[in-house]
Amino acid sequence: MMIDTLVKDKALIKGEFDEFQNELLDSFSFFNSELSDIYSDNIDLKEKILLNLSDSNKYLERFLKQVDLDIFFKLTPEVSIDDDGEISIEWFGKIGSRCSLTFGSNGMIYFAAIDQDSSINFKKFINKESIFIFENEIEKISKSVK
Amino acid sequence: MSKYGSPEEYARFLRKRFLKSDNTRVATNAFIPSPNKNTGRLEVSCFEVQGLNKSLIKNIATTNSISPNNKPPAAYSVIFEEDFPNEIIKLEKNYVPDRHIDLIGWERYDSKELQKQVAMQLAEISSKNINLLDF
Repeated sequence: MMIDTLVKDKALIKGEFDEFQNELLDSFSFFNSELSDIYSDNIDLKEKILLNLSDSNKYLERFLKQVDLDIFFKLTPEVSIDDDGEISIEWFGKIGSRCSLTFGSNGMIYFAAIDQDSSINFKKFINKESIFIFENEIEKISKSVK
Repeated sequence: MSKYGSPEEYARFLRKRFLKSDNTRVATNAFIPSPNKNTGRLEVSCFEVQGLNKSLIKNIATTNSISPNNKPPAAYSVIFEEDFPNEIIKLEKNYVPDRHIDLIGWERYDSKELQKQVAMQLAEISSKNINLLDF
């Protein structure tokens, strides 16, 4: 499905993509199970959070079609799901540095990064013209771990 | 000033999904605040743990309802008083239950995305002191 579409010409990153996709699916499953425990008496809220998750995933998939996947997988992306159902992806450099993307259920994509000097970089972007901000940060962090 | 002594140490109990990079990093969303069920105020729940060994800290997790799903936490991470970015958010030492504190002041940031910047800073600081719990 999505994997075939996105990585058909990028055999070198297929392994990373498969791993990422598996982690995403595992995270969905784990989160869904946790939601069932927490909101067993509030089905409406649980459904709302699952809808957020579905919408967030839709925007993540759209993003993956626009970003340079070689850069996306330059460091191992790790999946987190916020309590409200929105998906965050984080990349970890040396201790003290990381960056993240959060895929809002409203279609907004938020970028945040912290450097070893504790300075914070934060940008909100919704179109592919701003992707370079994220790509530059990944490049920077990946150099720090070498 | 804490009634439990100084320097202060603040532990955040962590569910498994908040541990990343082979348990060496705390996910940013571990420090995203949640609304208090009674007041609606945004809070991040922590415990003061100075003077306690790992076993006693583990007791805090077992004697209090730490996780929203009542499952024991997978770990805790510690922020030391001198590393706490207190110009950003404040500590409310309510000590209910014993040693419990809340990180408050999140309303100053009017969106989850801005709160996330602070959460990222806290997560990164606390990643230096992750302690796994074996339940």
